[in-house]
Amino acid sequence: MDTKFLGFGVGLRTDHYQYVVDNKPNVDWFEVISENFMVAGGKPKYFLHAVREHYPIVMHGVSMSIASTDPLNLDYLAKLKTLAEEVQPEWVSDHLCWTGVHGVNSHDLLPVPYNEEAIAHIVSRVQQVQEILGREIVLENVSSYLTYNASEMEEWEFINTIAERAGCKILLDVNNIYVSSRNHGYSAQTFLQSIQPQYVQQFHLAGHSDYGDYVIDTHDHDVPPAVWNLYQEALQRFGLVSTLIERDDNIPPFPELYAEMQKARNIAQRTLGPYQKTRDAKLATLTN
Amino acid sequence: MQNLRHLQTELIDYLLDQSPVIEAHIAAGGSIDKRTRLNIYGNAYKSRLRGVIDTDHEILSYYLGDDLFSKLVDGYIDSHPSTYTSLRDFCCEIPMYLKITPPFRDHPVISELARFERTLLFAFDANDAPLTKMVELSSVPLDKWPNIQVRFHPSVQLFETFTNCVEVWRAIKQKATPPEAIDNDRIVWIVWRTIERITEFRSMNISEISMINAFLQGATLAEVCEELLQYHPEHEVSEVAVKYISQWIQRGQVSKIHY
Repeated sequence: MDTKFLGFGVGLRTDHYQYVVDNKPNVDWFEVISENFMVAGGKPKYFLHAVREHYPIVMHGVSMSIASTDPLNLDYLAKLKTLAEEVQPEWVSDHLCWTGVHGVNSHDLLPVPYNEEAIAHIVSRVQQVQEILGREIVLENVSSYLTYNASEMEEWEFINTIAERAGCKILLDVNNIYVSSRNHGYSAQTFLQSIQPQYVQQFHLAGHSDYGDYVIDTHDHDVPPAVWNLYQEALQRFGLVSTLIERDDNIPPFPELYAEMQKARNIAQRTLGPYQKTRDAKLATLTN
Repeated sequence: MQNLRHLQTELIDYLLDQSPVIEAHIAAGGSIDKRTRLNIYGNAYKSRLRGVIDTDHEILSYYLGDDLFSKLVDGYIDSHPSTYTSLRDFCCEIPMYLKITPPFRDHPVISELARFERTLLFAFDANDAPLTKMVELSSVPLDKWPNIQVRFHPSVQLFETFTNCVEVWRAIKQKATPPEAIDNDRIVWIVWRTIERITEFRSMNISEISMINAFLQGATLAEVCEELLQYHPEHEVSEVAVKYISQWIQRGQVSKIHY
C-alpha cells in the first residue's frame, strides 16, 4: 500500500446518510465505522452502497483490540474481511490499543504500556491480522489518560517501532496527540517531529473537552485552534496526507462538518501551496 | 505477555468493580492524580454503555422516566458486563433483566416494551432479499397451487405479547399520553421492513397467525388450508388463504413463492 492521497474527507455518520445521498457534497472521500455495517442489510447497508457509488471509502474500526492478550477475534476479522470485499475500501484502519480481556469488552480504547513486551505482542498480532485480511492495516494513536510504570519508551518510539516491524501504517490523530500531550505533559511538537513520515497514511482532526487540568477526547466539538495549529505543523512535517474531520457526538448539520473540511483544505493549501488533486500521492505534485 | 495480561486484567477489574489494584501500576505525576486518571476511564465506560441503552430504548426510557431508567442502566451495566464485539448486542438481555428484576418485574409491560424495541431493531437491519410480486403468485399453474410454500422476507418478525405494550409504544412515539398498562389475552404482531426501508407492524387474527406459523414451519398451501378449517367453513378456506398471501405480498413481506 503506497501512501495514497485521497484529499479531504468527513466521517460518515447516521444523521447525515440521507443528506449525503441527496446532495452529493463536494467531499473527496468518506470514512465509515466498520462495525456500523456489520449487519445483514436494511438501511445501513443501503446507504453505505449508495455513498460508495460516488465516493472512495475508508473503513475505520473500533473492535480489533489489537493489543489485547485475549486471542484474536477470528469471527470479527472474518466479518471485517467480508465487509472489505463488499466495500472495496481504500484502506482499513483501527486503533493501537485494546478494548477488553477475559472475554469482557469495555468498548473503550484502552492504553498499553510502551515496552518491548507489548511491541512483540502487537507486532505478531498485526502480522496475523494482515495475513487474514490480505492487506496492510492502518493503526491510529489513541488519546490516553494514564501511563503505566512498565512503560520503557515514549509513545512515538513505540508507534514507529510497531509500524516498522509489523509493516503497517499509521493513522495520525492530531487531536489525540494534543489531548495526550496535555494529559501527560509532553510536547505535541516533539511527538510530531518524532513520527517517521513514511508510515503516516492518514490524519484525523477532531475536537475535545478541556477541563483545565486535563483534556478528554470527546469528539463532540468543533476542531479547536490548538488542533488546527498542530495540523499545520503536521502538514509541514508530513506533506499532503489524506485528512478527515471526525465527529462522534453532538453531531451538527452536515454543512458544519463540510465547512471544517474546507478549512482543513485551505490550511493545507496555505501551508503547502496549491496542489494538484490526484488520488495517487506519487503524482500529487506541489507546485511551489 | 504475562505482565501485559496482568495489567489488562487489573484495568478491566477496575472498570467493572472499581478494584484499586491497578493503581500501583500507574505512574504518578502531572497535573492530575492517579485516581482522577482512572476515573476518566471508569466514567467513559459507564457513559458509553448508558448511551447505547438510551439510543436503543428511546420509548422505554421515556416511559420509565429519568430515575427508573437510571436504575435500569446502573443495574444492567453492573450485572451484565459486555461480552459482545458490537455494542449493538449489549442490550440483548435487557428484556429478561426487566422481567426478573424488581421493581421492573412487577410491571410486565416494561419488559415487553424493551422486547418490542429490540424486535423493531432486528427488522430494521435484517438481511436484504428480493420481494415477490403478485404476478408471481398468479402465474403459478393451477395444479401446483396445493404445493405452494411462502418464504418470508428476512425482516419479518412475529412479536407475541400479553400486554398492551405496542399501544403504549405507539402513543409515546406519537407524543401522546400512553394508555394505562393492562394485561391482555395473547396478541401476535407481525413486524417487517417495507420496500421504503420503514419498519411497520400490525396485529393479526387467529387464522392469520395459524397460517403464517404453518408457512414458517415449511407447510404447503394444502396443509395450511387444513389448519384453516379450525377457523373457517370449508367453502371459505381457499379464499381466505389467497387473501392473506396476497396481502403479505402487497405489504412487502414475502420473498419467494415456492411450488
